[in-house]
Amino acid sequence: MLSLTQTLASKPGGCARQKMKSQQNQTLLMRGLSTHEVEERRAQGLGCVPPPPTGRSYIRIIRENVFNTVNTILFSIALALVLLGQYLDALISVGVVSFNLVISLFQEIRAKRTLDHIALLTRPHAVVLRDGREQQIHPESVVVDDIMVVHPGDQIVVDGPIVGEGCVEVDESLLTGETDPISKGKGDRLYAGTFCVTGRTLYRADKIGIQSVAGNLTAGARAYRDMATPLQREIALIIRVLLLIALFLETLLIAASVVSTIPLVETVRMAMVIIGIVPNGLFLSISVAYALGAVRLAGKGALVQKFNAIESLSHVDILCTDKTGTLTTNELELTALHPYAIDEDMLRELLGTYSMHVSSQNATSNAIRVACQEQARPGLPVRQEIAFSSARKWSALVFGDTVMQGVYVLGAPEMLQPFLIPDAALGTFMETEREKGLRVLLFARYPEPVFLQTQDAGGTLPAGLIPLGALSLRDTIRPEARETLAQFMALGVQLKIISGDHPQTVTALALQLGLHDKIKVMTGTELEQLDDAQLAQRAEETTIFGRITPHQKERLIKTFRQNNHYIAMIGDGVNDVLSLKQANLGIAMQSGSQATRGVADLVLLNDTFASLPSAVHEGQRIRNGMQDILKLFLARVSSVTLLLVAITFIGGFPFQPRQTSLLTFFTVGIPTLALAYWARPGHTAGQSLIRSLVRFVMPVSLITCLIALGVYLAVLIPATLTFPVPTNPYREGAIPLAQTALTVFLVLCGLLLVLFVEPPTAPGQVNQERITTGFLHY
Amino acid sequence: MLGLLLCFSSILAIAPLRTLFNLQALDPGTYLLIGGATLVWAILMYSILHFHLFERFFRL
Repeated sequence: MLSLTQTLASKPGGCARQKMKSQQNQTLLMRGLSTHEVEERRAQGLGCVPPPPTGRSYIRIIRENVFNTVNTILFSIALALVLLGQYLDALISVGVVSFNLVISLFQEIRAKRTLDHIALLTRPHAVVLRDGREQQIHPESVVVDDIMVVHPGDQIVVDGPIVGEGCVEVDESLLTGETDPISKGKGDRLYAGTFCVTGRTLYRADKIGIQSVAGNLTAGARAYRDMATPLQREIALIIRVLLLIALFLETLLIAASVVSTIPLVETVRMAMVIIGIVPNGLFLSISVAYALGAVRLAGKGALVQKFNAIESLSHVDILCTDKTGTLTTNELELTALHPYAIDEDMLRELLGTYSMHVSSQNATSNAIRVACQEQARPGLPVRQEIAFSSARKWSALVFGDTVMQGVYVLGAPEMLQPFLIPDAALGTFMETEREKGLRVLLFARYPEPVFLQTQDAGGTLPAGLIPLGALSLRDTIRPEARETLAQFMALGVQLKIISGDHPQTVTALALQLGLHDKIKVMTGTELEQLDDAQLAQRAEETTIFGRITPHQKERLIKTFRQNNHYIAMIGDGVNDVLSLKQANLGIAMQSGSQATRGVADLVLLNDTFASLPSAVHEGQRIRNGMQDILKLFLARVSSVTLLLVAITFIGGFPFQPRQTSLLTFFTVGIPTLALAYWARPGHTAGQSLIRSLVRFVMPVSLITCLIALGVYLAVLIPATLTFPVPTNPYREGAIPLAQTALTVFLVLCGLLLVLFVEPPTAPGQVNQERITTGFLHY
Repeated sequence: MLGLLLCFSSILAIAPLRTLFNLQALDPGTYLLIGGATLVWAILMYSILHFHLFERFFRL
């Protein structure tokens, strides 16, 4: 990571490209490339070669699920049976497996197609200047020398130098690991995969697609990224262990057939029974369940961007949410103005002019512009602009014009107060408005047009600011927010509101949302004074965190995680990126910035916040259902394995190949469908595999094996005494009778075991939402 | 589950299906034995899982 940071740092804005840049005339900057020039560049091979996709390709899905070790052994044995003339044995043994395989593959591929289609709607787009106007295009349509436009919250999609005026702050953490935004101006390079935090500028594309730094880095890694979830990893481990056991038993079988001269046909038939203990289809079943779960969640308004999000959803016990854009819509309305020393008309004029000249528009500047635009003076020259950032909590413009000369600052009152003139009387307006749950800002001026330093986030403003006025803005609460929060509480999920706003504003909003009035509040300043141990304790008790910077937000999430909580974080703005990455499950709003959507595990489509409880509900059901299925599989596999060892030890063989197919179909194939149907939401205990084995699988398999052995011997011994000695003891006489009795007993136990795994509930309690997984296991 | 039980019973009852899956016809006494064994299994399973006997034994 360090070497990359050095590489990025060692590439200044100059070099060869900068010489070219100086040759570009202003016209090109104004209009960008023409359509003809774009076509010309594409014909010259200067178009985009996109990096390989991150999801599993169709070929990879088929290769991993069909041509794996277990299937290869299974089909080889089936081929041997065919060659030995045992067609029916071969057909029935691999028939169930093949049928399940085809159905599961069909479902997974169909789910992948649906998800790919939905993902197209939320992928980042590029804004280019072509033919003199800004156009939104897909990143792969960009050509070399395109003039790109970047706004706050945009993901940079290609590498290239800044050619426009104005500064931007860029979050390069995904490339370099450096979490502080980096300020960049004309000539500096921007890199694909990074995010613009503040400011707006133009840059020229020179390294695109796979040639960009990010494209280069990820070309190899992304294509083979391991997408396995913890549950899938556990299952892969189980399959490997059972495969080893099966191979060991197969070796013993070969040795036994050599020593005791078992006929070759019978040896191959036994080999087919032994390999049947490996539940190969379980892995495919899990991935199909997740893929189908993701499709169902998309139908409920949540796009799963990472497969493990479905598992994560089921574990969430704390939901952290931003206020603006999540609990409230991202729209503000100016409710009141309170001038200091000037009249209200003058304050409106100054605010209108200020908001009109801010280059990076946000909800606040939009609300002010809408309310004050009639009095605004357009076209004044701006000497310097410091865009708003969540860490600073203010923005500033420096005007050199005589009409409006000086530094104008708009921001959170407590951040500006240390720089105000000593005798500034601000009155009670701000306090009153805050108590109503309104957002309050202070507008101030410094008479001299001094240059503001941007390096030091805390101390850049000149001392002696004159307050011009205070203003209050109203958030619009999302209509579904109240009901949604109530549903979360019913699901046992704690809510923490972490906002950059004043705690009073957030508290007033929380009360409107139905949270009780004894909620505890903490400010960013208080948080800063606590050490990690104190914060761990206080954070548990606190519901509202106000005036929190992005770094404090990240620290809070870390603290919750250290307290063994499973955290979901909802965010929409660039200031949420750090905390989204830190949370176990990052959730972004579709209308949020590209940066948040890029790092989120889950995107709420159409900003339907209301879809989240049902997504959590669905996640819990899928996870609980899969755990039940896993228990059933493991219980069957271990019982059969123990019986194989025990009965072979006493001189027999427990099953014939067709009987194991029957057993699989009745004890796991169909019952797992029922378990998926019966699966209920609710917190899982987070049982480890070992605990689950000891609590359920071990007693079931031991008891089943012992009683089954009793049944086998109870039928075998009298039959051996009654029947004459057969010519082929594996096909006639006592052993097939005992095998039949054993199969019947195991099928009955398998059916009853489903009721032990998931006891049926009373009709009123049965969850009517059907999980239409429709796949079988083997 | 009842449906599955009926389905399996039909396989046992219909001779060609029984032959297809390499099953033999069992006498009623054997079915009675299997039924009794299943009942014992169910009672044991219920006791072990309900009273957490294995967890107590392993002190989990």
